[in-house]
Amino acid sequence: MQALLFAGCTISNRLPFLEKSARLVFKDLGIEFIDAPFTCCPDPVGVQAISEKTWLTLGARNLCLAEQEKKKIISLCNGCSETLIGVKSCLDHDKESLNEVKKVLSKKGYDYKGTSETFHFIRSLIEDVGIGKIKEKVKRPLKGLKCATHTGCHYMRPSDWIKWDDPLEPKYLDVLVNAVGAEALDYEEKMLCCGAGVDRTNNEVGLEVAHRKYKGATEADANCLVVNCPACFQQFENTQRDVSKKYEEKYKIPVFYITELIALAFGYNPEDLGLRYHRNRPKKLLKSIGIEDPQ
Amino acid sequence: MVQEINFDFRKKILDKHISSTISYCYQCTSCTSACPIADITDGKYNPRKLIINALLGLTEKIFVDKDPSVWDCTQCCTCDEICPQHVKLTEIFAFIKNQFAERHEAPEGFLGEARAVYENGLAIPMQSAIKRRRDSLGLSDPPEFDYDELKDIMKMIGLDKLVKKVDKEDNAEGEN
Ligand code: SF4
Ligand code: SF4
Repeated sequence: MQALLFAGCTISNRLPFLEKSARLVFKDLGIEFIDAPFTCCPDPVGVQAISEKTWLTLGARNLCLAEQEKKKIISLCNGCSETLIGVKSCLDHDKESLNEVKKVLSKKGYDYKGTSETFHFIRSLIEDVGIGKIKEKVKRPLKGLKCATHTGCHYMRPSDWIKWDDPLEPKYLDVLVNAVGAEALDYEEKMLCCGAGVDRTNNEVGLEVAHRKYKGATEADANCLVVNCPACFQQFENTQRDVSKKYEEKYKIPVFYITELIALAFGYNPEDLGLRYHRNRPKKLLKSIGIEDPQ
Repeated sequence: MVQEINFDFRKKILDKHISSTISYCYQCTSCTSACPIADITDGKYNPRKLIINALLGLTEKIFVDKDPSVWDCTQCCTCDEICPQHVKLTEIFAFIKNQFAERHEAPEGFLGEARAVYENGLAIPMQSAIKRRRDSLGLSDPPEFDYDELKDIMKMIGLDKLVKKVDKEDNAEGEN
């Protein structure tokens, strides 16, 4: 069945190369999709903190549009999937909010029904596509990539809303990493947040969160970080320099989106995926495992 | 020092359909033990304390002294999973943050994003450099959306008033 692909504004308007790899991988795996007819989820951290009502209402408007299409939403982002699932769950359980939201939306001709379904793309890859099919498509196993995997918090929490994987010990990302021939590592601070949430108001604490992450990954001998959320991706891309300076340690660990790894394993080259847009360039690391752009 | 109890705030937080789980808290400290920010700040940030301050209506501690500050939470939701009483801590914190916004005292790091959504219909507007990157990757433009409709909706909710830049002067008389 056709799905609605929802990249979200962080990916589409800031990190479009992540979208590129996702589109290639989904096509190769036979996931049929069209673009979702909305752009901003809105963010479960920033917008919800200022106005829960705005968060609920704009989220519900997006869900109305998806209901009209009668298609499942596949989200490329932790924040977007949490919002769309969280909004639905809140409205399912809270009559008072539901009535308020319905009242506002009806003025714009919407009738919120509560029939939408949203999957994080990781869930689609594991539960809809299946690991067997992914393994079949692997042309070059990524042997030699030692991955400090990081799902990010809003991928699987709160479990009141989100009903897949495990809220405290998620497995799906590691399964995907191993399926493409790379190695998912256990490391100290594997479950630690990326720190983006607190970084907005307390940079010192935000940097210490990131520092612990890099230290744990390095001590476990990781040569890259692997994520499935654009906010975590940005946090890890953008804070390594500041952390290195502040702590007088040297971190320059390439960060990959899981769809980038899958695409590389499926035979796409760094250039096809726009890996040159990464801040912590993965070129040397990929070369060391035999992946280079053709001359 | 004697702390005043704000009964109005207490009533709101106990009434509010979702945050009403707050009354189940028995101060066991499981949330704080699991909280990464409590660990990093040596307990200066402490979700258990925030919950008791909210439950007792100690609004001066929450909004003025910020001891602890709700804005130090990184919203990892670990505490929500750990709490044996199923207190929905992050929902309660969202309610408190919304109250900060009502007082026009929310930090710019959060307010700025809500303002961007109000002014553009999305948190991260497109830039020409990114547009070029999309082109170079063979990606078409992101879906269009009806900003006027979004703006009308946000106005109906009153987001325009919340994100408006307020002078410090006006601000002071709005206390409590
Ligand atoms: S874990 Fe739950 S019950 Fe225990 S102190 Fe925290 S909020 Fe209260
Ligand atoms: S959500 Fe906030 S209070 Fe709860 S564990 Fe995470 S950082 Fe601590």
